[in-house]
Amino acid sequence: MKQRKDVQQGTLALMVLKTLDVLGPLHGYGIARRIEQISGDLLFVNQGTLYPVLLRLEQEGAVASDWGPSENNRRARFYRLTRAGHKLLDAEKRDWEQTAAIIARFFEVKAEDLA
Amino acid sequence: MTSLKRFVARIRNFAASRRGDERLREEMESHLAMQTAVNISSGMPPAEARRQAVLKFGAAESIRESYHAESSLPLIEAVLRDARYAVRKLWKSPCFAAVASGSLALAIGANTTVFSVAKQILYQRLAVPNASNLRLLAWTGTSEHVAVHHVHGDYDLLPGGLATSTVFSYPAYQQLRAENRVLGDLIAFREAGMNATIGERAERVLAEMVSENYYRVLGVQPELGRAIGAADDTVSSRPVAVISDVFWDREFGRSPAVLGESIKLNDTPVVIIGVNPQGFTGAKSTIPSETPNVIVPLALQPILTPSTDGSSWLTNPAQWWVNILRSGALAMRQFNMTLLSVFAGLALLLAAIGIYGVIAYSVTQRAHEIGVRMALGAKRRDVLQPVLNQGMVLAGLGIVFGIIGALALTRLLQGYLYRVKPTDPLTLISTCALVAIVAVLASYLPARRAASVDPLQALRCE
Repeated sequence: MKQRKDVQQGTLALMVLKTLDVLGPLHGYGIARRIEQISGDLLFVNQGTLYPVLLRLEQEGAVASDWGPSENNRRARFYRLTRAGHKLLDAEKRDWEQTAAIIARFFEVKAEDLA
Repeated sequence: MTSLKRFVARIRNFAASRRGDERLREEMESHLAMQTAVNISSGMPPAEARRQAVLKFGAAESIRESYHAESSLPLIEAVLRDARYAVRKLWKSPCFAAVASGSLALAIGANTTVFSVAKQILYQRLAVPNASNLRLLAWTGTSEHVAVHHVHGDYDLLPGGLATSTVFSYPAYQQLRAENRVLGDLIAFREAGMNATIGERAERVLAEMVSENYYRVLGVQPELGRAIGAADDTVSSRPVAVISDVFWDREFGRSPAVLGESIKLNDTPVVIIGVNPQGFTGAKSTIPSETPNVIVPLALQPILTPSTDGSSWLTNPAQWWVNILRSGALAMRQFNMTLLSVFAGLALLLAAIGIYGVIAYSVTQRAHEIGVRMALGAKRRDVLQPVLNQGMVLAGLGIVFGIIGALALTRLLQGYLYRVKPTDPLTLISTCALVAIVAVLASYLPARRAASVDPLQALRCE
């Protein structure tokens, strides 16, 4: 059985931003589905936890939202990335890549490299 | 910047708190519907599809809570909620609330009044040896039928069509003094601004015209020279004056040669015979800046401040202008006032003990509830908070009613006490603060005790 992983604090926001960046405006359910899909169901998200994160991003001005009709003609709230959101995503992405690169180097290093 | 933006958004949400909840509910509903539809299309029966969707969504209540924590101002909301809870709790037991806040109000009202009066009677005195025995005389009459034609001094209207003043005519003073059997002795005095000429220089000075017994009754000795005596207070006496220490310092450089010097007051030469001691502020005021520069006998009034019709105010019974101080054995009044203050202090103490008892009792009643809450893992703070809130709401009520009561007592007392303000602001503030502290302490201590009760013990109490 695959080991499912809980989402780390803060990374969920980054995933939300990237998802909206790639797929354009989406409602909450759509975002949750994409995140699960992309992570290959390795990630366990209590779908509801998405909403406080979305609210927070909206209050920070990274996303904006409006009511609109969903695929099957339901009322749903659609979220889209704002200009500030794009900037935030770029900054977070750089940050994340830097961290990842540093950690990667630590894993690659061997005893003889340090001699 | 971002945090400021969030703060503004939070305040907006706080103001319209219903909307946020509504929005989350709607989003949750549409989310669940979509997930359910997907589940059904993958072959689940509808009921199971819905159940799975809800499971996948997670604990709705905890999500709502964190959503709410994001969206609003949790601290202010908690405070408001606690205050509402405290008020509701008190509303349910009106008897308890009435007794507790009533005793607080009584304590504040009575103490403020008594301490304000006592402070003025016991501590604000003239800087003379037997000041505690001195009283300024005042008269009260109906404002329409005042038996006086010309009042040169204070004149205050009282509630109920009464009027009061502290000025008398000189003949009235002489008569009072002559017929006085019980009051000790009576001093007459009157302050007036005059032009003083010292050598070539002229300046405006404050002069006090006094009766011949002034220095003797006040028990004041000049630091230099002699005091005004009976021989100086006749129409035929040589005009003399005693000057203040400050005036001596400023005009004569503390020279002992000042005695026998002549200065002019309103163009009349007077001879300096003495210098008042430092710190003596005259009979009228206790404020150093209002100290009379020159003290002269009342007999000089017709010469120094002649009236326009040429008559002497010393013989005119229609001109009311002199203040009268009386000395005498008033130790009984003093004692009564001290006693009253002690009783007021006791009342405050009793009110504190009372409110402590009442609140402690109500907390004991809730020991079971507190035990259960502690056993369920409630934080200490969360258990203490409601009890403290209740105490603070009670104190607030008590202070409001207490101030109203003190103001009402003031109006009642004003008719009996001349120029005594029963609501000294400092006294009012300190009494309120003291009572508030007592009330909060009285609720905090039992609450702390209740919170440290072993949950098992609390549960067993039942």
